[in-house]
Parts: sequence; structure tokens; C-alpha cells
Amino acid sequence: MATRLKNATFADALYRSLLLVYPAEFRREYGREMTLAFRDRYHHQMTKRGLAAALGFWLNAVADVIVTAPGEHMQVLWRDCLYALRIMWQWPTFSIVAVTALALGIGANSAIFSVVNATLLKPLPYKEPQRLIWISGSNLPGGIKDESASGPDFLDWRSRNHSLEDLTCFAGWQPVLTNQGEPARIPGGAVSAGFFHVLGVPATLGRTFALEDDQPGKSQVVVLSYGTWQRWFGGDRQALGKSITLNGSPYTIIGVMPAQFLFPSATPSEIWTVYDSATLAKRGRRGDHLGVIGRLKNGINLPLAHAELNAIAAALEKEYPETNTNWRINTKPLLERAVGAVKPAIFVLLVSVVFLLLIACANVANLLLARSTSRQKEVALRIALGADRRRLIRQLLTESVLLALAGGTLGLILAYVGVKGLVAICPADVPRIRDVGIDRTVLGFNFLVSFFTGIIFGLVPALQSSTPDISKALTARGTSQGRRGGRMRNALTVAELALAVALLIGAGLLVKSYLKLASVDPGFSSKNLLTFRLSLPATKYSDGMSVVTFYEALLERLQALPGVRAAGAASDPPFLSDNYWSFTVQGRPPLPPGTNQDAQASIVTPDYFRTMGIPLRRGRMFSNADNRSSAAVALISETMARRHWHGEDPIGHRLAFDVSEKGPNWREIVGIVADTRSLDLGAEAYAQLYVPYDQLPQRGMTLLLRTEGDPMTALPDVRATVYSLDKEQPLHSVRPMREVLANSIAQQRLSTLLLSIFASSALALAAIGVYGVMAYSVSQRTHEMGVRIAMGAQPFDVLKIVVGQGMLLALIGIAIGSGLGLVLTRLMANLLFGTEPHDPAVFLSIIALLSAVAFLACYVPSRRAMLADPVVALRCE
Amino acid sequence: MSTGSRSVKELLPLTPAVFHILLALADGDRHGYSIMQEAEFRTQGKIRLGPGTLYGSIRRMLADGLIEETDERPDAALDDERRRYYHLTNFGRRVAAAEAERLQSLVVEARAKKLLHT
Repeated sequence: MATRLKNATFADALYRSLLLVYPAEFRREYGREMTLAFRDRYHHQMTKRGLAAALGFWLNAVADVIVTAPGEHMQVLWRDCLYALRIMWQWPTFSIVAVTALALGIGANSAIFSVVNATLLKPLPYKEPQRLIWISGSNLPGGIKDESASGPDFLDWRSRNHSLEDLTCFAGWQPVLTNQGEPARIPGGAVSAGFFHVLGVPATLGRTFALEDDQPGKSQVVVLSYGTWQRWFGGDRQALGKSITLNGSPYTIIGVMPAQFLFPSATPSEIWTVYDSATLAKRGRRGDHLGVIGRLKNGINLPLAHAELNAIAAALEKEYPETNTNWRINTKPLLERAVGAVKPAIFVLLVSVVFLLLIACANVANLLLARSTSRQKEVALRIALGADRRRLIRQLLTESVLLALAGGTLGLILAYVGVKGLVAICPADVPRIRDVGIDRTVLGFNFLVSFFTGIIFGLVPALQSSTPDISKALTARGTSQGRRGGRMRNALTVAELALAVALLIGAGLLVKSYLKLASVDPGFSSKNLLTFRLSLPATKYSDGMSVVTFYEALLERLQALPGVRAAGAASDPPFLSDNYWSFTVQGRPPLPPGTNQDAQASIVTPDYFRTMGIPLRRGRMFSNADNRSSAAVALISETMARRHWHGEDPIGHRLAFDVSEKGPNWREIVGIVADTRSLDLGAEAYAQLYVPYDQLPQRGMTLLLRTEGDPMTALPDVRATVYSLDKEQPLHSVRPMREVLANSIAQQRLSTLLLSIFASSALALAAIGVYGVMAYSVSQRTHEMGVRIAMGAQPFDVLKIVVGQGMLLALIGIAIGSGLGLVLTRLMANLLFGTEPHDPAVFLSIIALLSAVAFLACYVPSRRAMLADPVVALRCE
Repeated sequence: MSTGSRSVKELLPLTPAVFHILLALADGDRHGYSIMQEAEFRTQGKIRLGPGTLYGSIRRMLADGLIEETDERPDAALDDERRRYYHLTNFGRRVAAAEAERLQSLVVEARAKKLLHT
């Protein structure tokens, strides 16, 4: 009997602890009854069936609690929500201000998170993408950190390694299509046969390349992108096996890739052909442009593969000292290669939106604290009526979470619009930008951030509001929150100012850096300069003579066009392409193997420099007399002269970048021209070398036209002129140079713009915050001010008190924010151009700006205090 | 006719738990455990209302005006002062009747479709 009683008491206690799952309110109301009912039933069951039934009994009891407790919680939540909505409705201005501030903060976070999600978090759309690695070369003694691979090196890496399942290479390929309407240049790629297999993406129709395609002399085949297949063939399955003419040769279509297939390069790619190994083997070991991707074997990690590939590179160095001395191998995850460059900018934006959200939180928390003063009576009444503190906190948190969810919903709309705008203005070469959008992950993020934001900004006001001095609150005529609430509000104001200062300093640095970058002189005039590229096919223009004849005739006709001031052409003009040639100087000892001495080279027509506006520094320019039958000549840039002649006069010296059977093909330097920047406005000018077009004709040239007005208006005439010479030659990459230059700094412009928007929002929120606190403080001190004025204080004294109190907070906030800025801006160092992370001008300007804004935010409420009527103020007593 | 703002129709169909509680209280006032016993007895053990289900339903039924707490105690010998007793309201009785009619019409329907033997 005693044991049974003991059991029953234990069962009671256990059941009572199970009841903790229910809301406290429900427990208080029915907990005792439930325990009694439980005890009776337990007793009944034990008497009837004995201990054997205990397990089933307990299972039933637990199931009963699990099934019914959520419903009771929902019931309480529902009531709290209805109450919270009523409160929101009662305080419309408060609700609108709070929801707007939160929408700004949460919306900015969701928008930037959608970018983070699409670029950094989503796996690449390949099979087991975590096993894919990017492989490139480096020659650190020669100052080269990352270099594309060459055909022979690639073949050796592939055949000798044991840590990779397979390895594939690819390069850009832009064939001219001629049998599908107007001739057009198609952006595409040439890949090794295992390419699609390594990525693990099969064709959606037909097949991808197979090993048998890797044979010299086999008929040429292509795989199309889904978009190209739709455009050319309207999605007709009969396209398989059809022949198209590319660069004047027939190619058979063997497959179509899925719509979501992503070619692993920044530029768009719509058609792919296959490299055969024999052709790859014949290429030079240096100066090739192959991207290489490998798939790690199961169980092999990156450092292991890295070590093995570098052992192979060391072996190749011994076998081919001429070309492979000092060359080593870089490896990195493919995802890192795809998005590594934008990571720092995204990180800075992410930090800035978190700051913005924290500022919004501080702002709303301040508003809640101020409002809680007005709700003291309501809360005191509820406590007096028996509501417990936890229940009150839960109710107040429901209100703040509901506010945050409303802010989050509005923020989601802002984020949706913002992301659409962002993708529209984002430069196309930002990796994976087309994947950015509001998807389920972003929705989940938005919800979580909203929820926790509600808890964060609601917790402190809820804790404070739930412990009012009941007797005071219920009897006092006026309401005030006392010292504790005031201190908390001051702390929040200081915090939001500090965060705003740090954010503004970051934005200020980026703006300064961007302005510096945008004002860099590229070394030529980009105004009214049209650029487009022509690539003559080898099938039609098989010898140098025919190529020269075509371009000479074309330039002559283009120059004669109305509105065209000058026309020139270059193989690799600045900001459009770059090409590096190694060279030797006559009379100097040969360079040791593995030493890198190169220059950016471009083959140019005589009028190129005049068209671009690149001035001659010394010597002479090229002329029409510099042709095939005259002496070989070259021009070099000032940097090249300085770097490789060290004060000596290079004019008259001879250099060579190629070797024939007779030995090096020496060229005499006849002049020095000004430097130009090449692909990056922020990078110092590289050594540059120019060769006259007549002496080294190229089929692919970029044409440059200096026009009287808007260069794009000349385009129809230009196109007609090209077609008048050869109607199968498409113009491609047609762009005004100004746009080319603007695009080269578009990423910096975008991050500067975004950070400036976030910082401006932060400034506005911080200003509202300071204003709110000061206005509230003034309203609380009306009586004190009235007394002071009645005692003979001058309005200016009142102003001093109010502004002094506000500015003290502001200055503390600004000081902390500056300190935070000093620490955080160090992380931005590699995003800045020509601007130190601790730039004093930026720091001082932001400090001055924030001080001015804070002063204004204090001054406006202090005006009200100055006008306090002592009679009215004292009447309140 | 309704209690509070809800009409009989709005409350139908009832959950099995609510209907069984109404049936249990139709004979007279009972406390929670007694309701549980009655439901179990009437259904030969097929319906076993757990305390959570019972008191969750009671809370809602009180709010809807189907039942009310009563101070009157039944026969003193059977009385247990520790417990709360519940009483079926007139509205609750009408709701129970309406639910029974609803079920009956379903039974008639099932018969017409020869799903049940008479």
C-alpha cells in the first residue's frame, strides 16, 4: 500500500512537470483539476490492471499533452495578437514610424542576404560542386600570381596526377555564324572532350562531347546552349544532327544543354566546340589562355591535390627549364574562383545592413520606452488585476514581434523592388548575379530576422514596462518613467549614433575612393569614341596581304564618313583586351630561365594614337611608311622606357619578342608614347609595346572612331561601310569607349551607391532617434523649464540646458562611433583606391556632419522648451 | 438564438470530445474525472478523454456558453468539494440536440444508400 502511495505521489509530480508545457494561464486555471483527474484515473488503472499497464498509460498521457498543448498556446498567442493589433491601431503614428524604420532595416538585410545567398551560399549548379577545383599557374619570382594554363601543361597535369578523377580545360571561342540569316558572332567556348563530364551536367537533348570527339580530323561538332537552340530552331528536336557554318566551316550539332546550365566564365557563352588533345599538345607552354577545372577523387582533399600538382609542376620544371622554370600551381575551390573577387564588397555591405538594422532596433526600442511611459497605467492596472510579470512580458513581446513582422513584410516588398533594381543596374560580370532574387531561403531569412528583431528591440522595453511602481502609476496625474528609463533611452541613442557614425565613415571612404578612381586619367580621351571588333575568318582571308588590304580600305572609307574625325585600329586596345609578350633587348645578356620580362602589346594602325589622343613623348609616331618592306620598328610607353632602360635613352635600341629561323626578329624603338591604363583604372600603368599593323597583320582588330558627336549615331553608316567591303563580316562588341570605362568601375560604383543609401538611411534614423529622445525629454521637463523661467532664467539658458544634454549624448556616440570606425574600416582596406582606411578628411567630415545633424535634432525641441510658459507649466502642479 | 455572439449553427459540427462532454452532462452536473469516466463507460472504452483534451474542450465550451461552472453539489454522499462541477446550459443542450440531429440525418442518408442494415 505504501509503495502504491509513493508511486502515485511520484506519478503526480511527474504529471505536474508535464503540465509545464501548457501556457501558465491555462495551467493556473486547470492544472489542479487536471492533476486530480489524472490521479483518479491512474489510481483506477493501477488497481484494475496493475503496474503492467503503466507504460501504455504514460504514453497516452504524454500524447494527450503533446496534442493539446500547442492548441492552448495558439489560443493565447491569438489573443495576444488581437490585443497587440488593437494597441497598434490605437497608436497609429507610433506604429507607422516603427514599421517604416524596421522595414528599412529588415528590407536592406533581406536584399543583401539575397545577394549573399545567390553568390556565396548556393552551391554551383554542377554535380557534387564541392569536389570541383580551379587550377592555374603562378610564377612568384616573376611576379605572376595567377596565370591561365597552356595546352601542353594541361595535358601533363591530366596524365600524371592521381588525386583528380578528371581534369578539363576551356577557353573563349567566338565563331562567326554565316548560314542562319545575318552573319553574327556567337559568344562561346572551346572545351576539352571531358568538360561536361567533369562538371557532371548531361545534355538535355542529344549528347555532350565524348572521347571519340577528341580525334584530329574528326568532323567538327558543337553543343548549343538552351537559349541558342530556342532562338535558332524554336526548340525543334530535329536540330540535332543539323550542320551550321561557323568561321566558314561546317559543324554538326550534337546536343543541347539544359536551360539552367552555367558556363564557368564571367562572360556569356552560347555554343561550345571541342579541343582535340593533338591540337592542345602543339600549343606553346607559355602565353596560352586555358581555364582548367578538376574534379577531386572521392576522399581526396584540396591540399593533397595541390601538393601532387605542384610535384608535377616541379617535374615539368626539370623537363622544360626554358618555359617552366619557377612555374607552380594554384588550386582553389571552383566556387571561390567564381565569387572570390566580390566577397569583400559583399561582406562590407552585409556588415553595413546589420548596422542599419541595429540602428532601426535602437530607434524603435527608444520609441517603445517613450510609449511605455504612457502605458504605465494600463500595465499597472493589469498587474493589480492579477496578471503576472511573465505573462505581461509575453504580451509586450508579442506586440514588438508583431511590429517587426509588419516591418519585415513591408521590408520584403522593399527588398523585392530593391533586388530587381539591383540586378538591373548591376554590371553583368558580377558572378551569379542573374541568380539573385527572393526565393524560399530569403523568405525564411526575412521571417527569422523579423522575429528576432522583434525580440531584440522589444526585450528591454518589455522588461522595464512590466515592473512599474503600481501605486505611483495608478495615482500620479502625470506620467514619467524615472531615471532608469531615461538612462536606457540615452544609452540607446548613443548606440545608434555610434553605429551611424561607423557606417557613414565606411560610406564616406568608399565615396572618396570611388571619386578618385573615376577621376583617374586613363591616358587617352574616351569622349566620342566608338569601338567595335571585327574578326576576319581565316578561310576567306588566308594571307596577310588580303587582311591588310581589307583594313586599309575600311579605315580609309571610315575616315571619309561625315562626323568621323579620326579612325584607327588596334589588336588589343586598353580596357577591351590585354595581351602580354615577353621580349629581349639586343645587346643585353639573355634572361635566366623563368624570369618574366614582358609588356602589354598591341598591334596598331598609324592613326591609332591620333584617334585615341595618346601623345608622343619623344621620337616619332608610326607612319604609312612603316610597312612590311621597311625596317621593323616599335613604339614603347613611358613606363616601359623607365622600367627597362632605367634612365638610358631607349630610342634606337632594338628589342625582339619572337624568334625565327634566323634568330630574334629585332625591332628598333623609334618613339616613346604616353602611358595608358589597361583593364583596371586602379592599377598602375604596365609597360606597353606597340607594333605597326602593316608589319604584323592580324585578322581580329578593334576599330576606334573619334566622332564629332554621340558616337552611336555614326553606327548605321559604319555598319554599311563594313558591309560594303564584305557583307559577311559582323560587327561585334560595339560600344562607346565612355561606356567601356564606366563598366570597368561599375562594381565599385554599385557598392559605393548601396553603402551610401544604407548610410543615408542610418543618418536619417539616427537623427530621428536623437530628435525623438530630446523632444520627449523636453516634454517631460516642461514643468522644470517653466520653473526655471519663472525664477528668472533667460530662454538662452534653457536652450543651453537642452542642447547641452543632447549634444553630450551625441558627442559620446560620435566618439564611440569614430573608434568603431577606426577598427572596422581596416577590413575595407582592399576595397579602397588611393584612400587610407583612416583617412582623416573623411573621419572629420563625418564627425562634423553628425555633430551638425545632432545639433539640429536637439535645437528644434529646445526651441519648444525656450517658449515654455511658466504659468502653464506651474498650473500642472 | 445564440449565446454571446455565436449561433448554434456556427458551432456545428462539434468535435467528438465536445459532443461526448455534452452527452455526459445531459444527465446532470459532473466534475472532470466523472465526465471522463462516463464517456469511457458509454463507449465501452473506445473514447478515452485525456485531461488535456478534456480541459481544453471545457475551456472553449465555457467561453462558448455551452456549459457553466456550478456551485450546486449533487448528493452529498457523492460530493467531492475539491472539484469543480460543470452544468449543461440551455444553449449547450440545444447545440447537443442539433449535433445529434445532424448525426441522425447522416445515419438516415447512410441507410438510404444501404450502407447500414435496419
